[in-house]
Amino acid sequence: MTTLTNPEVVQARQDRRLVLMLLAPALLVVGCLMIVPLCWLAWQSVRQDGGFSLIHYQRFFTDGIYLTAFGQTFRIAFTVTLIALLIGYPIACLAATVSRGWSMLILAAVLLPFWTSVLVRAYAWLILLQRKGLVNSLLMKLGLIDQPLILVNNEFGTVMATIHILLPFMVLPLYAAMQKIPTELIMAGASLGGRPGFVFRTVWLPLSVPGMVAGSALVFVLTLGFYITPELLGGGRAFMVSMLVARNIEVYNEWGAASSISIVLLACVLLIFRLASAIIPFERIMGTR
Amino acid sequence: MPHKVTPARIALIIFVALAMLWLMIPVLIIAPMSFSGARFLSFPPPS
Repeated sequence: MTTLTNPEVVQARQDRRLVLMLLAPALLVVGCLMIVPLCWLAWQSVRQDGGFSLIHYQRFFTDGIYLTAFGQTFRIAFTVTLIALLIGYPIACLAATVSRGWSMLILAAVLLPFWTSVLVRAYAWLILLQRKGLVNSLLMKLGLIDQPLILVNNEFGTVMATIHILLPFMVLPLYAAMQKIPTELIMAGASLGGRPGFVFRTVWLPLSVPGMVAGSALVFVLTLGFYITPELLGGGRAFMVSMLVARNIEVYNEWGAASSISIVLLACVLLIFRLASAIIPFERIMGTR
Repeated sequence: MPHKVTPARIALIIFVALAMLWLMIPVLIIAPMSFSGARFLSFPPPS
């Protein structure tokens, strides 16, 4: 009985209650806006004509378009992530190593397209890449090609515009990670006789891995659910999962089918992160342990 | 950090400048487009 009246125990219990009360609004928001709709989605996906049914999941094995769409979506997401990393890494590198004024300018240039609507930028790419567009006419004038290249209404155009739209999501985490790298380490590496390339490989690159992982994960997941660019620039040749969902709702009014696709995509993403975290310890890399 | 101007550094700067240009062009193209009188999307705008 002494422990119950012990002031320390009482204090700890009060603290715990306070923390729970303070957390309640946040938990409520997450619960209402995220968990409940997800559960509803899952529920919807196993219903057909008022009863339980797995017909929507069965379609994944019988309807070829489902597997094709998933395969193409993951392929596009992988390509976009890889190229965005290759373009974003040098940009973040330079932004993190120049003076403050210059780095602000570089980041502003990265963020400027971010302020224009995604739809507008997709149309801008359509203008640039179309058959008689700026890129084709420029290449023709230079005599590099004889007839217009097909740059849009295919996977190429989709990938190009998607990278353009998602590049800030790659550059910003990379920049944040690189900014934290102490310059003393680079100088120490150089003073110990390391050539710039060697210092970059052995000091800079490993320390920027958290940014690479964070940026790649962001871009990959965002591309998986991208809708505007494949719809506008894909021309039917870049058929992604988001379009499959949209078709099921718009054309067939099949909410169950659309829900099942979303659930499978979510499961795929979780599985990928699970597998990836077995190889790369996410918690340690992200510093959120 | 004082950076020596090495060929690698120059290459980096050139690459980033090109990437910036690539980022900017679609945004810059929108402005003249909005004054275009054409019924279909084309650049340069005919009127």
